[in-house]
Amino acid sequence: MLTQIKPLFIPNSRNNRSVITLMIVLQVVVFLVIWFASKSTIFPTPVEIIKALGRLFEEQNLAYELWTSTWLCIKAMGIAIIISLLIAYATVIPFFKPIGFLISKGRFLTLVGLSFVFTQMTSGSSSLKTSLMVFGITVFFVTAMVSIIQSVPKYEFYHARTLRMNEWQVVWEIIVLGRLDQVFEVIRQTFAISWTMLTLVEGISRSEGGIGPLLLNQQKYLHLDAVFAIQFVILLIGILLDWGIGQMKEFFLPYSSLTVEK
Amino acid sequence: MEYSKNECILKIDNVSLTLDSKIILQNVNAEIKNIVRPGMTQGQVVGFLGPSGVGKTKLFEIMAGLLKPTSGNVFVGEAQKPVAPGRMGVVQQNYPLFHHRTVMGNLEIAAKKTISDSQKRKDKIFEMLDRFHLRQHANMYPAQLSGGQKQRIAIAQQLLCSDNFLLMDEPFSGLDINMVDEVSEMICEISNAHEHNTIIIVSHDIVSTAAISDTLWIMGRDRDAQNNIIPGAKIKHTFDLIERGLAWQPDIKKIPAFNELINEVRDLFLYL
Repeated sequence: MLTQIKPLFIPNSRNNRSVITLMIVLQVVVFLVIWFASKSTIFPTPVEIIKALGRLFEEQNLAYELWTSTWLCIKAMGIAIIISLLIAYATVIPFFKPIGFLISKGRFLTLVGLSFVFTQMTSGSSSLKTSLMVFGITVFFVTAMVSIIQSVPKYEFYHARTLRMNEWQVVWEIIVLGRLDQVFEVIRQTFAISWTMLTLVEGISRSEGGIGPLLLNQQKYLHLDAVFAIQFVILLIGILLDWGIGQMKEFFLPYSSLTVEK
Repeated sequence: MEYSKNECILKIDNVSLTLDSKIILQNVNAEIKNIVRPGMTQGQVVGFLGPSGVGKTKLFEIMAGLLKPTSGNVFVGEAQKPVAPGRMGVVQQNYPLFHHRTVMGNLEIAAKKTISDSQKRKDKIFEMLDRFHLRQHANMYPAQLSGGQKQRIAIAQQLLCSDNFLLMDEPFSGLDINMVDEVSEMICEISNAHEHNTIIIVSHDIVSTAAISDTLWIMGRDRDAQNNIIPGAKIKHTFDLIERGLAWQPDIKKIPAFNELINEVRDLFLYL
């Protein structure tokens, strides 16, 4: 038994599946025991959270609010992916490099500070929220993609050129097709960022509802059990969508996981 | 041994390269002639040796048409046209392949450049796969192949779209003795597949390179009276191994004259 547990504490060691499952179950149990046993007034107990979750579904239409928010996030993500990829791929042309650089620096701006500008530029709550989300995602997406493009080794370009490819074909093969697996990774990362941005953006414009206003309302009245219940749902949906993106990557790009040590 | 050296098929003409005010290459001159042996197809294998950091890689890149020299040029083929990317096959040290394409996909994209008919292209690719014993790996991705298999795919890929020339960077690097022999055999086989096939091997492995070459180029730099290195490398010594009776010999490593040659080259390295 000890020989099976020992590798769990050795860096880069491989462990068999049953030992890993046992370890995760144990860690979850320990976490739950600490949670149940704690007398904290800040953290509600799991039972309180489950009860609040039921109330939220019955009285506050949580399922609908969740769908509103998820749809907003997916819509914004889709638009941002297209815009970001176009900007990032364009940086291979020297003329567009400064634009990509400038946009990536936009990640240091706050969305709250930009909300007035976006309100003036858009018509209606829906387009305001979508544009804010698209902006927030794009600045991070472009940053990650530009970094990926800049770090392509010289030998890869040489390889493509020795196969008589012109520079457009080199870009298509090395930057676009050759980095698709990394695009999926960036989508995963920026999706997580967008998911955390969601409540903030929905808080700025509350008229259409969504999980953000629901969370802010519960927080306003100090319904901590409901706040934690919403957070739990946000976490769960986030993990589920992240897993979905990962599965899509493995399905469409089967080569992407061949070099990963599992 | 009856042979003749005919028309020039590669000429490095006064090539100089300066990068960031640093002279890397200075008036490099060399040429490769078509070797003809009556009654057989004989290609050319040139071993390109020199100390680390001397500028071999830069000349390699210039010969491949990937880097423009500051002055001079490289001319290839019977028509002696200036080299352009794609005319010379290049097998880099780490055997890069498109990781997102299967073996078949990697060969297909190379063959598309030279063979427009899809059926002919497919036939040629399968011929290559058979020649390099890789047909059973056709649907695998590069990440699923061993280093040796990747090297063979990289060679096949380049052969599908280049004009008889193959530049190989450190083809023996990291291989065990058996694999070195296997790669050496493969290089000889490729060079002898067509009269104009010419392989230039850039390597630090003097013995393995000299054993399969018909010509050796040794790159180095001159020194001043105080023995200081003068910037700007060139091909300082050319060994005609055919003239010395040290080319195309199956058991060459056992011939005393071959060992003398290796020692001679090693001695030269001390002053390059």
